[in-house]
Formats: sequence, C-alpha cells, structure tokens
Amino acid sequence: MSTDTEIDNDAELATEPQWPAPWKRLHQQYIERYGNIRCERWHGPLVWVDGGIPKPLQFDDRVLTGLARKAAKVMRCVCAQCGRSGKMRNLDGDCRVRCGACQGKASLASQIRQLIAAAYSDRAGPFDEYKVTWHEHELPLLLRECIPPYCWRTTELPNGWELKYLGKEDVTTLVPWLSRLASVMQDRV
Amino acid sequence: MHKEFHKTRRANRDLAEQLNAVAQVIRKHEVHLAALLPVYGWQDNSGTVPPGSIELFDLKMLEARLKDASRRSEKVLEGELKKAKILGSLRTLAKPPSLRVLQDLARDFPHFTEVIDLIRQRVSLARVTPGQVFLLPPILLSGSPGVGKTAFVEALAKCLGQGFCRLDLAAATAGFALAGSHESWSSARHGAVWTLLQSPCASGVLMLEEIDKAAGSGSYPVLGSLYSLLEPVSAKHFKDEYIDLEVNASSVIVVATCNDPDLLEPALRSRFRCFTIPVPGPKDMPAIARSVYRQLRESRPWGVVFPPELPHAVLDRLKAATPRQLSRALEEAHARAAEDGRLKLQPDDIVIEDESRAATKPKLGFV
Repeated sequence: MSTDTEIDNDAELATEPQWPAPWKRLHQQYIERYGNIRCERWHGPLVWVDGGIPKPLQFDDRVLTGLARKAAKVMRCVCAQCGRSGKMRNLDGDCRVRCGACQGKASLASQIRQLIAAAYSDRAGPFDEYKVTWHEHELPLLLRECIPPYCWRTTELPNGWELKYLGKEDVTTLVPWLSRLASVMQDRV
Repeated sequence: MHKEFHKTRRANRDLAEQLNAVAQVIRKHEVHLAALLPVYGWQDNSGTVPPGSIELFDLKMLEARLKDASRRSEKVLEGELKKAKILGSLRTLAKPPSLRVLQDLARDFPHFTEVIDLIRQRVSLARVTPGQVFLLPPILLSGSPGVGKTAFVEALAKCLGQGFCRLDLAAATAGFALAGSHESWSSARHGAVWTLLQSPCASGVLMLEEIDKAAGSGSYPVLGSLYSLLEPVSAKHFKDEYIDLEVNASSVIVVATCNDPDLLEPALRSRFRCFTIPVPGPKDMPAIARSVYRQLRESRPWGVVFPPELPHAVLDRLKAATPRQLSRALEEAHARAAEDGRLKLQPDDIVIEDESRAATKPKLGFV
C-alpha cells in the first residue's frame, strides 16, 4: 500500500517523538484497530501534522483511509500540549489544537511580547504618533487582569469615574516582571 | 437568536477557563513574581528609592540575620526572613483613593465628616506628591458604642485596597501581638506590624480596636511599642522583637478606636489625630440605614429575595435607632416579614430594642 498524499518535508508525522503523548496514544489505538480488522499490522503513520493541525493521509485501502480520517478528527479535539479536550485555535495567525487553559497561557505570553515590542518600538503609529500611554480598555483582557493593581495610574473624569492607564515608563519598568511572567506561562522557568 | 446565545455562552466559558489557567499559574509562582515587582528594576539599576516606594529594611542586615537564623536552625524565623527577602527591600506605597470612592464613603458615613475631610485633604496632598504617595497620620476615633467606628475603618481599608490587620487590644494580654515576642520564648512569634508589612505595599491599615481598654501587666505593657510606631521618626526604625530587624513602618496607616479617650496616656493620645464621632442624628440615619441594608443584602443568603431599596416609611421608623441597633432591627424585621409571607418590609416589622433597658439587670428584693 502506498500513500497518495504529497507531504511537505516540513510537515511532521504524528509518530514523531516530539509530538505529545496523548496524540501518540490515540494514533496507536487506531493502528491497533486496523490490526483487529485486517489481522495484519500497519507500521506507518495514519496522520500527518501540518502547521500544528493533524490531517489524514490517503491510502488505497479504504479501511486505512477511514481510520486515518477518524484519527485526525479525534486528534483535532485533543490539546497538543496537555492532552485535555481542546479545539483548533488561532493565535497570531498560527493555528494549533489547544485546550482553554493552554490557549490562555499562550495568549498571555503573546500579548506580553506584543506590549513589550510596542513599548520599545521607535515606529510612529498611523497618525504619526508614538505610543506613550496604554489605557485599560486598550489592553487585552488577559493582560489587563495580570497587571498588579498598584501599577495603574489613574485620572479623574468629570463624571466621577476614573480612567486607568499605564505610561510608557511604567511599561518599561514592568518589563523584567512581564518577561518573567511570559516565561512562566510557557513553562520556561 | 438561540444559537447566538449559546455561542456567546461558550465563548464566555472559554474565556473564563483561560483566565483561570493564567490565575493558577500566577498563584503558583506568586513568590517568584513578587520578587520582580516594578520597583525591582529601579533597585538593581540605580540603587536609589524611586518615588512612590520606600526601602523597608536594609538588605544586608536581613541577609546577616537570615544567616544567623539558619545557623541556629530557627525554621520559622528563617522562613519569615526568606519571604521578606523574596519580596525585596523596596515596597510600594498606597496611591490616593479616587474622589468617587470618598464620595461613597461620605454618603455611607455622614457623621464621619471631619475624618473624611482629613482624608480628602491628604488625597489632594498626595496628588501633588511625586509618585502620588498617600499617607495618613495616626487617627483615633472615639465615640459611644455602636456609632459605626469599626465599620468605618473597615470601609476605609477597603477603599485603599491595601493590607488590613485588626487587633483587638481589649483582649490582648501583652505587647507581643503588636511587636512580636523574643525568640527565647517557646511560643515566640512575630507581631501584627511585621505581618502587615509582608506584602508588596507597605501602606496597610492597622486597626487597633478598643485602645482605651488595653490592659497588661506592668512587665508586659500592651501599648509600649505603639509609642515608637506612632512617632514618624522612630517608626522608621521599628523593630519586631522576634524578627530583630529594623523596618521602616512609617507608612503604616494606624487607626484606633475607643469609647473614652481620657483613659489613654496623654503621651499616647498626643500622637493621634483625635476625632469624636457624634451619635448620628435623625437626618443622617436614612443614609446609614441604606448602607447597612446594602451590606446586609450582600452578606446574607436571603438578601437576594428582598428589594434593593428600603421603603421610605421603614426608613422613617429607623431614624430612632443607633447604627448598631439598625443591623439587628433590620435582620429581625426581615425574619418577621418572611414569617408573614411577605418579601417587602413594612414599618411595623421594625422593632428597635432599648439598649439601656436590655443591659440593666432586674432588681432583686422588695419592689
């Protein structure tokens, strides 16, 4: 039997050692299921992973094709990082299968990177302005919740409400802490 | 419509899951992250104290004390010192509360006008200070029982949003509770001031309840350590006897309550800004009643089934009560209304107990 699908050199097969244990376990289950149906062992992969998304390989054997399709479908609902139930999520144009918790951590790390980049950026904005303040509502929700409450500056509005914001110097002062937070979120501590 | 609702609900649940995960990781690494507070960078680069923060202790002295503690295998003391080292020697100071928050405080406590005026002035002062540092002098609130002194201090601490520590001095047997006890004691422990200072912000609120009733034997005076804590110069070198390390406790906000300020030593009384809280008049009572009712509704499980506002007739009836009687009368009134199968109060539900009569014992003998 041979595979019909052309696979990129960059694409990785699900049996590669770097892939998470839950995916490998699932893949193994489908290989075993094939053995039970056909009474012979299949030694190759059923699924290939394109940019973080499992995709089925095409086979001449319709049983193998069906199993590959099912395996890829199930794998697309299992978080690639922790093995919990997840879904395909897009983060900065990069599509991955993640659960809510892993997505939260990855998003926060990405948001921190973007904030730091903006704080150190010497490029002017669309109206020729340089970013010097970040109002509370401008920051993404996850990042907003993580900024310690005493770091916010406040200004009184005429109606008695207060506006919270961070100055450029506040963000640059927060950089060591934010970088550390991003590392923690990516389990790099 | 139905589909859209479920989609939104799923998205909200997903966002909640993300927030929970992030909060869990932060909680797990809290100590390490606390060591990298914003001020940390300043400490490393310039060695000077930035505006809006203070140097709580000398790091070298802490390290020497830590070494000494670990040599003597003093596990508890070592743990406390390690925690302080991780938090760093630089701590932030409280930022002034917003005017809106002060307006709410003035609305809920109309008879605390003088105190709120002082706070408002200090807020204005803080706004022109570099780093917007909010400091309050030691405050002594005196007044008859049940006028709402404790409730006010709790509300003030909530407004500031920093640490809060309550110490009932009527029940304290010695000054250990405030400034710790010497490590030679078997049950040695640090005091409330050190506990309050072990947070990223050094401007916590220390509430000393019933300061006029503080008793203690001559050898262990309860209020002895207060003399140095309340004096700005000596507070910078405050020493907890257990930790045995000089800390700058000058930014701790001390608020004491008492019934009779004349019972205090003049030297101690002169260290406080004294305010006599009047018994709220009938025109103040509706606002206080609304505030007490709001708190009751929030804190009691039955609160949700009753309407958010009290009827005017009920408010009129409550004018004769003191703030302490209010809470009791309202709770009992709700029970009466529920017994009658009503979810709305009526003036007849309010029964104000006469405190003086309840407190007196029935006389014995011939009448």
